[in-house]
Amino acid sequence: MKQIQQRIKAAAVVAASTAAFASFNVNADALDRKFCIFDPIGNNGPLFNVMKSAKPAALKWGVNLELSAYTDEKIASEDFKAGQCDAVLLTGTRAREYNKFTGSLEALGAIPGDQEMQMILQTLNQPKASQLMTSGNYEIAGILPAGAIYLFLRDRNINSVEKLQGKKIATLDYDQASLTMVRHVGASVVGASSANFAGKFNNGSVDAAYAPAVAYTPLELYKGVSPDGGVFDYKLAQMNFQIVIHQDKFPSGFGQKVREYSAARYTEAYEIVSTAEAEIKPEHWMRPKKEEVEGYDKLLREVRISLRDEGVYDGKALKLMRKVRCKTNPQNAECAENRE
Amino acid sequence: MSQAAFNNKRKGIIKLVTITMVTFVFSGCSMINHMIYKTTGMVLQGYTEEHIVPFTLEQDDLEMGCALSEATTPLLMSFGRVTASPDQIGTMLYLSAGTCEEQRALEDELRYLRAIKEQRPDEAEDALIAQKRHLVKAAKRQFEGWNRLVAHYGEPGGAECPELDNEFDQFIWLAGLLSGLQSLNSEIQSTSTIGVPKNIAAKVERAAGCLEDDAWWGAPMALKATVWAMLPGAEPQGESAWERLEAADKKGIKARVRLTHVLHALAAYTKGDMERVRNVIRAHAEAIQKKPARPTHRLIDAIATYNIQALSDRLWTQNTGHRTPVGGLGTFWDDKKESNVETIELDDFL
Repeated sequence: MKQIQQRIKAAAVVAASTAAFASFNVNADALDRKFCIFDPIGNNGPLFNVMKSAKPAALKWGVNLELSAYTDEKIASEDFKAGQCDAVLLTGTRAREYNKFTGSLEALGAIPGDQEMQMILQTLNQPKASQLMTSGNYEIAGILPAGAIYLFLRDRNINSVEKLQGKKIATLDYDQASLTMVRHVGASVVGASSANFAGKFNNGSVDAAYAPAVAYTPLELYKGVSPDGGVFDYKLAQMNFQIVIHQDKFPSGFGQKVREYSAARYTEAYEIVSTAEAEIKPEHWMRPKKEEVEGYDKLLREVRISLRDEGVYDGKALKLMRKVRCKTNPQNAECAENRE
Repeated sequence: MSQAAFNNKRKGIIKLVTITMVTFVFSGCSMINHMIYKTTGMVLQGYTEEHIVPFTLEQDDLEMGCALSEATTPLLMSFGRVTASPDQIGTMLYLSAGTCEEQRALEDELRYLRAIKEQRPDEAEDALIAQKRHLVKAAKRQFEGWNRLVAHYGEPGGAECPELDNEFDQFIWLAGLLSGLQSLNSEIQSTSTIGVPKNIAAKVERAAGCLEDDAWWGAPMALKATVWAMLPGAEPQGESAWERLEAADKKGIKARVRLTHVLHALAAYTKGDMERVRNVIRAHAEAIQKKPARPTHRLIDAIATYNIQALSDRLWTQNTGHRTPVGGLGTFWDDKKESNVETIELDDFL
């Protein structure tokens, strides 16, 4: 009996070392894994092409990624959940289902600028943070910044929260946080998706829409903004894309390697974002006053806290983001209050 | 003529020659600029438009057309320094020169695909970098083609169409729109930022409506429908990009300039509909086998075939490690071989 046990042990050791060896030996057969990518443009889109660039690196880590583009994010997420994809690229909000912590990084008003965003991303790329990146068998193997989300208005007279009352806002109806926010300011929700919100905004069936700057030029949001509208210069949230993997489908340590690889792509990502923001004409920006900004900050903080209490946002993530805000702006009242 | 009169006349001639020489000396450069360079420029431009372009369009040697564009673009465009800028020809030249870089990019892409298949990550990485370098250059050239179009006709996709009076204007318009869409595509594939405005696709979609669809082998409608397939929310309600593309293909086949197949395949590839991609490749292979290209536009048809073959080569390489076999365009590695030739029972011989 003891002998059998010893043999099993020995076999297990051999199997484990073989597996470890296979994971990192390029000459061994790589694991074939399917990577599903949400890209609104599909196979010829920017996200798909950026991810294609990661194939050689993944091969070095023992994984042969077969890429598949999805123009519908919901289907990409469902296929991933059903096990038809071993890895998936989704927006941060959609990824909340797989990791509440990283899925809360898009929380309303939680990250005021690029500096804070970069600080958060670098913090989470440390090997020490891998615990936060894992939730059951789901692991977040990389976060890519997609820039701030702004409010686009057809009428620039709507320059305060009060004036949003009764106005129609194109809202991503799968996002509990957005629904709460729109209702909180007394505006009415008009359900929309990433494929149709621009059309609704440009043809006037909604008064306002929110989107990252990268959507502005390709979807011609300036058509809805011109002649009387504007882009409200307040960062409602920081959008990001996340790579989610079924951890047991990949070699050990794969997630951390991809996170480090993603970190090396930040400069490219920010270049795309800053180019897109520069394409918004100066006369279209609506600049709120300093005291107004403080008011919005307070308003969004209350919304965040209530969403946390409802279980939508993760408390730890909100705390981390508050810490980062207080690092760049220690005089903020919230730094003494510790409510997040 | 008296001696005095003769002397006077001689003096007059000497005076005239002297004045001319002095004028020439003092105004040397500008004179050469205005008289000789300008005339040469106008002659070359005129000759290019009237003879080189139509002659080249009749040839089906894509590589030669490419080499011509790469070699003569700086020469022809330099005349923009002494006379009106030859923007129309520029549109075509830069589009064509972009194709040369696309061809180089494709070779590296196939190398990348083979390396991935053979699990050689370093080779794959190197091939990908090389491919992207070529794509950046292709995007820059194609974007320049678009810019030349804008310089000559104004910004496409506005409320009104420019006056596209003659066939040459219309042809350049189509070339410029293709150049714009290609520049956006090349930039995205290169994962670099070179400043191609992201609303080119939407502008091309509208500007394609300035051309008569039947006169241009169904390509204008195919351009529109391709943008619908590529741009979220661009497809008008009640429209179907696929139906439009299928109808456009029929026009292209009938006209024997089968450019619509390229746009159709691009749209299908973008949407990940690989069965449709295969069907378009099959349809193109069948069409070029059945009927030769329209003699006046052999080059356009050759460009279409090159692009379809490039797509086929990608698929073949991904799945077999090599490109489309010779004579194999329209076939695929997993086609079921069905033979209706009868065989002889071998039992008596064994």
